[in-house]
Amino acid sequence: MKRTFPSLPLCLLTFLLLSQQCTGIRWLALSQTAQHINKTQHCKTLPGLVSSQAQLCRSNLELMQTIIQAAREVKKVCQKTFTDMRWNCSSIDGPKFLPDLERGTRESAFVYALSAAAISHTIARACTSGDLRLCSCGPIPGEIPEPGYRWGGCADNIHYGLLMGSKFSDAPMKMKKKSGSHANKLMHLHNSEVGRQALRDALVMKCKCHGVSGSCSIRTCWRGLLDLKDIAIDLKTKYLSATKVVHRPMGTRKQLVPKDIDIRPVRENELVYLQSSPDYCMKNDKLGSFGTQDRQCNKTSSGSDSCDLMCCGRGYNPYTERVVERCHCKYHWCCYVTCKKCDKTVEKYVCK
Amino acid sequence: MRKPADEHHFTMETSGMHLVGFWLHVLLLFQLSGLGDSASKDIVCEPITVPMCKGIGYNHTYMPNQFNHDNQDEVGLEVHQFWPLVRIHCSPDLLFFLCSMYTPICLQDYKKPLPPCRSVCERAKRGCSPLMIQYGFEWPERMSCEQLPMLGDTDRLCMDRNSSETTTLSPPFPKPTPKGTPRHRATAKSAPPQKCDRECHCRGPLVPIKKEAHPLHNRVNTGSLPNCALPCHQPYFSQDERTFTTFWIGLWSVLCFVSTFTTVATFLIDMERFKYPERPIIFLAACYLFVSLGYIVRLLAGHERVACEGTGDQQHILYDTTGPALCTLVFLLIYFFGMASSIWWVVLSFTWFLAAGMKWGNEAIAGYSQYFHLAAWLVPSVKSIAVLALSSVDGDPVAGICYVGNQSLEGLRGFVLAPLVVYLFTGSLFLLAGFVSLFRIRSVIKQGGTKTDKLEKLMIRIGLFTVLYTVPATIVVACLVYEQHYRPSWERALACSCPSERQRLGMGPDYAVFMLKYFMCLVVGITSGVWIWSGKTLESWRRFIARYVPCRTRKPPVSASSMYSEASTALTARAGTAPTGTYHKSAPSSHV
Repeated sequence: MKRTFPSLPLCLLTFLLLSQQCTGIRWLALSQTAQHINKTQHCKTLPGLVSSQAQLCRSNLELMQTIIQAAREVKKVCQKTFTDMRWNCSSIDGPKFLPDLERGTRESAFVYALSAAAISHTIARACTSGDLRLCSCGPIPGEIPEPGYRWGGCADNIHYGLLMGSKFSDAPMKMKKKSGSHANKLMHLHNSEVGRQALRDALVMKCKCHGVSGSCSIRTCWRGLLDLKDIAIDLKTKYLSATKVVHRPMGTRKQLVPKDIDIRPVRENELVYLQSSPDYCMKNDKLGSFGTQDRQCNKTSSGSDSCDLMCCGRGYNPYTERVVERCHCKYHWCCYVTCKKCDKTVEKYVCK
Repeated sequence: MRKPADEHHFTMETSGMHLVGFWLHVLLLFQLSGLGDSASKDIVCEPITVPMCKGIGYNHTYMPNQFNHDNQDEVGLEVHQFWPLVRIHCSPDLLFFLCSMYTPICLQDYKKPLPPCRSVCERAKRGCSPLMIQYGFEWPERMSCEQLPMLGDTDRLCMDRNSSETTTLSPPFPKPTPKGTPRHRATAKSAPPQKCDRECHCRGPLVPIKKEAHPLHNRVNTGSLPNCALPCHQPYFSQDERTFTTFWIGLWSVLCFVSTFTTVATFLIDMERFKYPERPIIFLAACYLFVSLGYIVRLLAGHERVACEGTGDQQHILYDTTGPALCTLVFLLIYFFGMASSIWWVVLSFTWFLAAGMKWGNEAIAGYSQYFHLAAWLVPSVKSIAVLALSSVDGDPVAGICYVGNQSLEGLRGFVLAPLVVYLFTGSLFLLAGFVSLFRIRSVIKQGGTKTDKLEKLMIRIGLFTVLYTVPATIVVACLVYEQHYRPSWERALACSCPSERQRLGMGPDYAVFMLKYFMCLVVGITSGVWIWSGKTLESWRRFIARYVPCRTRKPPVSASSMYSEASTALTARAGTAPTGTYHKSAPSSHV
């Protein structure tokens, strides 16, 4: 079906009004930046930055390339993590977001948490790899290792990552001017902190074996971060169990409390949202829903990517696709592999 | 139906043309970003830089490997710890297995892992794990064979040589020409360059025993391969080295013969001069006379006729000989008299101990001479008969003689190494005890007259000779220990590796060790001649010639033939001693 806007002026006015709210993740638009940032003049042309972020850009020019890399990672990891959901992170590019990320929904909670984790994660890794000369390896733990183990290597500098990452990503929510609602700011700050806490939990022990003739007589260990996709999976679990909150007076200040008064207070590692999400079944621009029409689904699955759930009961259309792949590979001494080409017909399904 | 994105795009188009350019730009960015991402994920092939793993069959690898090494420098540090194990060649598959694990193969058009097959791992483990256990290392858990795929698994490819692979043997050594000079040597023909084959089989220059009618069928094996014989000449030595071996052995054996012959002849013309305890030196020299004769027989007859059997490309070293005359003769001369000389050295140290340490007189020691002769001749006889009865005589591919233990480690250890060690140990004990006693009673001897001083000098002289004997004896024992320890690996390398690899890894025996062994076997005979270098020898020969003249004038009728031989000897001796008269006249003080 085809929809038309009532009129251009009204549409433009609505768009401008919406864009005034929650600007916390507009910096994700940096993922589309192609130029290399090596001059302070470039900071003015970057999309999605508020004034304090532009100031950080000018004073930490070397950091910007890492932040751009983080923005790209957020998009890639988010879309990969939500491949099997109706909402699949399609609108994450910015700087002008659709209502699915602007209305304080559950989805925006996930994106804020992932963005905060990603920027700190990428900066910490850049310290370890030497891409950033502003920092170096993380500290050596103070605990004494058990026999056969010793500290070594280069630990991920999570402290510096959290410091600089939060300074950049939280800047929009800490601006003094009264743009955007206070409730939204509190929600975004909370969810960003949840993301950073997930990053702290992702600091694990990594070891390498040493020893004569391949034995593992001694191990050198360091503290390293899990991959961002593992952190995203953890945050997705929190997204599925997020708590709806309201902005309510508590004492002399307003705070976010669960909407259902009987539920326990909000935990520090719990994602929260203010607005319920649509079902994302049908296309609805007002709600930021792309709908699941023409989306691929899995006929044999019983999860969220199954055809029944993905297509919202509307049914699906099968179609066949011819795929040419390598088969009957054989190794020849020494040393090469030869394969044959096999035509294979694959049946796929798309939602009606 | 069109996708929502397309519909959205179409809707935006109605709002203005500039939005179309905006979205196209976004799509382009997506495409570039995608390409960049895919490039960073792909495996990147890099040339192998670890020295140990160059030339194993493929040239490219990728990092990190399964052991989490980030670069090849890190790999090199760890994998090089296996280099001693690779060099000892406990398994022909070890090097390829290690490198395929540490520097995995990287193919441009095949991105799945391609590890070594389980069979490669098991072969390497079977060959090397026992050796590692000897040095206190277990087979590493991270290289356990169970985790590797099986050969032929269609889902998981792996690397191993094909079972149907066939290899061609190198051409064997050409047949030596039987005519011409007796010392004609076979010229070695270098094998044509070929791909290095690491499978174990009876390849050239080894001699496969194919016919069941062959006398060696099911009776010999080389490097654990049944029905595989060693060739006539040592395969590890070049033709130049073989020629030099003949010269080397000839030089020392002729010198030994001349020296010991002179010593024995001097003893025969004046037996009373050499009393116990020095008399065993004469018998020791006599033994070396016959040992050198054994080597000279080999020189005259030739390497092939003494130590080899078969013809053409089937010619091989003698195994468990059934009694060719030349082989048996050379064996008896070298082994029997060689062992007898060792026992005479023990007798010498014992008699010296009695005289120097226990102050026995020569008459008392001579009273037991029949026991000395019994031990010195009977023990080697029993051993030689045992070797012949067990058919343990075999050919030496280096020297071209027949001996025991060349093709059997048990024979080498039981009939050669063990007796030599026992004799060396026993004689050294007597020497040590004698020297201790000699120092203890030194003050008593000093109180005597001139005769005592002379006796002490003689004792020290005999002791010195006996001690000096231990040097070549110890060296021979060391050479034999070296040979018996490494020979299995030399044979295994012949069967399991190609010539270029053997040369590169330095497998094979040390040529100098063998040359040293043959020299040390004969040097005692050469130096034993020093014993008779004195004025007494000239006096002995002069008296011998003087005794001949009265016999001639007497003319006994019953010894007519002996008179003729004595006359011949007198003529030779007279001509040789012509300068002696001059010396005698110029030194009249020696008579005083």
